Amino acid sequence: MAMPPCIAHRLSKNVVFRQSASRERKSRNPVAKRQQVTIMNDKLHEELSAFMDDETPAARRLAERLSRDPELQARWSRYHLIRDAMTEHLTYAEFDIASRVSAVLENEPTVLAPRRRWHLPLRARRVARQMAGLAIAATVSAVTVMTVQQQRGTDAPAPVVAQVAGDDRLAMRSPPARVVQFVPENRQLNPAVRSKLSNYLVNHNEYSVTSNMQGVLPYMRIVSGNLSATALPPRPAARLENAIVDGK
Amino acid sequence: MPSSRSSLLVLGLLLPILALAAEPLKEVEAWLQKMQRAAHTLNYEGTFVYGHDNNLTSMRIIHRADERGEQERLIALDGSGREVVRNDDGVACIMPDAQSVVVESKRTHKQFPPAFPMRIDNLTAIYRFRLAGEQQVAGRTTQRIDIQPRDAYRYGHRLWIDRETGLLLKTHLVDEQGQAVEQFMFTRIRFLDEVPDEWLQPTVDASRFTRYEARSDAPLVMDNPPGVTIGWMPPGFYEDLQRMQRLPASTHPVEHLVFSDGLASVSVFLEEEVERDAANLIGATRMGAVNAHGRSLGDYHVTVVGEVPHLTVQKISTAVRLKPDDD
Repeated sequence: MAMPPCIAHRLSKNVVFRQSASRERKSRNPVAKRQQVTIMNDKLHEELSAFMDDETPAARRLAERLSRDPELQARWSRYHLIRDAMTEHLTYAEFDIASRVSAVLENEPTVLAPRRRWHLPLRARRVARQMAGLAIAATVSAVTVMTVQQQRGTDAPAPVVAQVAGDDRLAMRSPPARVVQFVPENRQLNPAVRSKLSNYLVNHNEYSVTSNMQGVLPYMRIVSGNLSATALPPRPAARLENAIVDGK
Repeated sequence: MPSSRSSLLVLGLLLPILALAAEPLKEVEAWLQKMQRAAHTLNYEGTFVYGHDNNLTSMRIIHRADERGEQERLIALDGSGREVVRNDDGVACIMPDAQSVVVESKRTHKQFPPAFPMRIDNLTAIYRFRLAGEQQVAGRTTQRIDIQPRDAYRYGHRLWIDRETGLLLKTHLVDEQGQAVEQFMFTRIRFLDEVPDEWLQPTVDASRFTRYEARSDAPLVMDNPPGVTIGWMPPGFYEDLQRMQRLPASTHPVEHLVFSDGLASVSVFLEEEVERDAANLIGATRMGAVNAHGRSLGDYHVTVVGEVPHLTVQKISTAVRLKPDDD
């Protein structure tokens, strides 16, 4: 029933071995301090991906770190992206996945080319392999995604556009919906539609059983902001008067 | 003779097993009841992460429940300054990045929120319930409960419920493949005896923001209310509520119907379509676990919104029909 979590990692382990070993041989350019940072990051990043898998003793600490660290948040997003691509969750296919994957590759240079392997603890090397594998796996899956996309007929629902917090360029880059009937994700919705949906959502939440059961949960959707009224239509000043509430 | 003896033996072995099988369901029910109570009766303050799709947000929450009622404040920790302040009268979403406040007064709160079905017997036809052991969340011991739908029209739930207080500390909403479409987890939680008033006040000065809210002078009756039938609902869904209301920033009334299977809810919104209103959703969209689908229907526009899979909102949306005598 439940998909094995973080398949990207598991799959990647086999593929990667040779590749990362050869990379390790090539680069010998030690900068001790940097290396230490790298190892620390390796550990952090490994834990981060384990966190995505759900249960680790470090999950709580990581979540706290995540909540403060935008860089780590971006990485978290990328890991999800890769995993989803691996598991053929094609929801993200519409936008430029190739550039996202290359971004992943660019951002992992220290991991791909660990220096002075005799100083690297076993664990860090294992992470390096995993990471390299992830990147390769991601490239492979990007190809898969694109192939599958080409096979889709024009009457297939357009996949939903992915988004990363604060990255508006993604939406700009994504091609216009090919399917007239099916509006992709909210980034491509006209602001008025998004605003109206937000209102609907607020209303839905107030009366939803799920909301009642989960208490706070529904409002997170609003605060987290995707559907929220980031672009509410400007309202004529004259009508503001009318808009003031009953004053209770 | 030997055969009847062995069937007796089998029966003797089976009975306790059958009795045991009913036990966990009772226990699940007790946990869900405890969870529901806790959501509306505890004082606490904490931080949680909320993730969906490619997105992760960290938020702080303050919740108070006492004789004055229930009050809650959510603060986004992403620098946007967004806050949601909620009490028994309604909810205000403050969005400094959009320089706006959206207010929804809850006019019918006396009848709502609807009670969570205290008996899950009715739900076992559409969901499987399972006690899934104890796990640690935010340094506390939780009871995990898995709820799996028996069809593709709703999401599954994994719930991690604080054993001591019953508060939901972590949750996954999972799709058919068992992938979490939405996750929520406390990273830090403090249960409190009292919550100071000032903790519940928004720090953002919203007085100069554009305020969107239901206008009390708008007519509450549509000139020509649509008579509709909804030709399809997922098995187990029933009508929870029908009300007329006005949406913030909208002059025309909207008919709001709520349907639920006891765990999942779907809202159907109907409003008069004013000359191809550009604000109406045509087709599907989604955000995390929430899916929406909209389409034109004669002089009206239908929008279906709910924490259910895309398939469900789409099927419901296309099954909405105007009654023939209403044109």
